[in-house]
Amino acid sequence: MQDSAGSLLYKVIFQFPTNKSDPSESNKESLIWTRYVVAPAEVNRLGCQQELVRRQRKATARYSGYILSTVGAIRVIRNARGHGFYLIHAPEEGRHHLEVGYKRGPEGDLKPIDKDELKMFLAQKFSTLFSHNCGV
Amino acid sequence: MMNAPALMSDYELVLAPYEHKMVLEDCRPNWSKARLWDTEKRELLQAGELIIIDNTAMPGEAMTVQAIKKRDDRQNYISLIGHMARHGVSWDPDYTGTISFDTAQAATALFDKFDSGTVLPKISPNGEGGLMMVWGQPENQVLAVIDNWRIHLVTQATTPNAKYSDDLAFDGEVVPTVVLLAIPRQTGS
Repeated sequence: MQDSAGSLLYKVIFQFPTNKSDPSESNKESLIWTRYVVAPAEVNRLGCQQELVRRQRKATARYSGYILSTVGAIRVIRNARGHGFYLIHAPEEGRHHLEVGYKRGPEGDLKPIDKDELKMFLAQKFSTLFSHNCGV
Repeated sequence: MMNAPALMSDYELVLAPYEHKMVLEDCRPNWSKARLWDTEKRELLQAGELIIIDNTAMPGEAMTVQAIKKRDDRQNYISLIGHMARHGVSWDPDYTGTISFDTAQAATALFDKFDSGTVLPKISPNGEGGLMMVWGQPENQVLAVIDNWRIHLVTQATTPNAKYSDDLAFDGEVVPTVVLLAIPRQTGS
């Protein structure tokens, strides 16, 4: 029997990766805003559309569902040094698109540990996975 | 025509669609010659075959079943760390989720320092080349981040009582005391 490596992993769905080719796109993640999209049907439709696009670049890419939170739950996040998240409507990539990123607290710049602690906060604010298989 | 940004109320739902694909391979990051030799020497220990060349599971530690199991667990982590350095782990196919090779070497050196009483963490790439290591439950979590040869630490993470230790140097041999004290140990060890 083979053991899954998943038991060793801390699942950081939001990694806020650095984008070396376009630093202005670093440390951001995208969300879907349900004001404009009905879950689960339209969300999964968008996810399956994304799967088709991304499989052009990476054949193993699969959309596997979505996780759920509220605007308020994300806005109130503050770590002990006062850092949190901003959340803005960014309709350039579709009317349903929200952008989330780090928001500096009043006491200075974010240090590396602040960013990673904020990822833990965010993980706590989202539901477990509502799974979906596009079946392609 | 571009849509205008809209205001959000706190009660509105947001969703994060994601993709998931991960394959675990046994691959190590680049090792120094001395460390590779050292590891190969230790791996001659084969209790199942009763071929016992070394009688310690780790230097200074008795070879018990628990110690051997723990050593095997550490090897799984080291394999996963090597995988993260070469291929990455990510839930977004547009992003590889790799850690830097220096981070992988430092993390491997740190796991080599863990004895059989050390509780092993859950790990993840942090998106910027570093490795997150998380211990404990949400009300009492420890987060250590290896960023090349530096360690960043927070105890009681995600609580108002969080204590931070930033930018600790790690040379691969001596683990900073504040890190050793923060890492949970199994009861009775």
